[in-house]
Amino acid sequence: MNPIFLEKTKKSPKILLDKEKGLFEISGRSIQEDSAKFYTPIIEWIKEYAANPNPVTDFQFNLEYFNSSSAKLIVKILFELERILKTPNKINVTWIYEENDDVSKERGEEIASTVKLPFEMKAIPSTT
Amino acid sequence: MQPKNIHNLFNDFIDDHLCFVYRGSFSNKTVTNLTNLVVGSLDDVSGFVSLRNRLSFLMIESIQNIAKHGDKSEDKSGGEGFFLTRNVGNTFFITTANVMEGENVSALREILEKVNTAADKNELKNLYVTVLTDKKISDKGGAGLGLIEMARKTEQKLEFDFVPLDEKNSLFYLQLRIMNKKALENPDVEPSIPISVARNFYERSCKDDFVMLHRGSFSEDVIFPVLNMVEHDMLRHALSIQKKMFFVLVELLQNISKHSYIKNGEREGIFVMGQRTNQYILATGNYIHNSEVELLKNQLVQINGVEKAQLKDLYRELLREETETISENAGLGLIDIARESKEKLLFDFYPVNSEISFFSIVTTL
Repeated sequence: MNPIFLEKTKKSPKILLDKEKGLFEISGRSIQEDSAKFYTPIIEWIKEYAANPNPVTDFQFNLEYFNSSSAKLIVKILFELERILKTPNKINVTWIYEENDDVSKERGEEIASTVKLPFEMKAIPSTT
Repeated sequence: MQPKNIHNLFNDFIDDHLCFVYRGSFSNKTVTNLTNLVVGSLDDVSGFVSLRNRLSFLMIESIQNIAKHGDKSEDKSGGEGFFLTRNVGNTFFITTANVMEGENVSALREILEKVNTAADKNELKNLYVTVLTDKKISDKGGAGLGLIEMARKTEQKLEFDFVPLDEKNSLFYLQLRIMNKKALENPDVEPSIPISVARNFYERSCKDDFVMLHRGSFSEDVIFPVLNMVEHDMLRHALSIQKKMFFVLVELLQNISKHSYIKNGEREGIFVMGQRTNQYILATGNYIHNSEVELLKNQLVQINGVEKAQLKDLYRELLREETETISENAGLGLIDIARESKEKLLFDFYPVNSEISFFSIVTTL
């Protein structure tokens, strides 16, 4: 599979999806207006990946901000990743947030509750 | 702040292609954000694209006047003041206000009058050189030089006003007028907005507690400088408050840039931010098609009728839904706004004509 790498911008997140290296990361800000358009190729990639995943997948989210349309697509990504649960392979999702950032933590927990995936909440020291 | 206030503010600036108001502390970052915002929203039809650099220069110069000479409170990085810019017709107005010591008023007035009586460019240039070499004035930080530069760049008289505040301090108002080519060809039809309008507006912003106002065309990219402005302003607060503000603000602004009615090719709207002790108010207003009023109203009534805990359930439910109609997406955004609000959402609809209504929403954080 060809990896996907997108640099983060002021409105869209960094995307790093590399099966060979085992790197799966979405980080930064996801506040683009047309989130569906932005995430379509990403969801396609994940669909393909979930059909033939690595023995272990550690998927990381480190989102500073995301708008409501992105939230919906993040859940969609997680739905696709849920397919891995039906295989003998392992999948783990890590939701990274800055300590003291109750809002991002709460949002992560909420998103976690919509899926059956193993979800780890991970606080990192605040940068500000 | 009520929805009707937002509607009134929108109508007060109905002829403005762009209007931006900021009241608060002015740091270097504020200056950058403000100029990006204004310059970034200039479109080809404005007739100001070629005057971009001049506009930036004048904005920076007048804001730095506040930053340098405005009254400095202890907890603020920059000076306190007021900034208003409007683009009406083919003219741009830049108005600033800042507190100064009353004893310096007469000296400043003298410089301003000298600048305004200078007959032509040459005389202004001579005045510039005189002030540059005058030791008495230069130790005041060169306020005079900035003013002369403004007059040279605008090629218009500087409008000013001094309003005594108390025994020690006065409020200094300064208004610049920048005319584009079309305006200079036919200056008589240009709007003449006296400085007293800005003065009244400043007083109103203090009375009604609003600190920011943006009225204009809301495209996806125009909202980013606004976001930057608010984000920078919120840095002194706890992280969780910053985040709440940002989440709500993004939804509110993108509601306009995504869902508002397109009139003459533009998504016209207004954003207002208010501030009271321990409380922020975020409000927006925009046109919507009359056929959408009922649905939006129902969604808002439904959201307001639900307790906070249930709102979260509703949010989760919508997140899980596979379908993605526009109204559902908008619904998710509204729930996002409601769940972070301290109070119930305030909203109203004002019929404009048989096709459109004005929708206004006010949230408290």
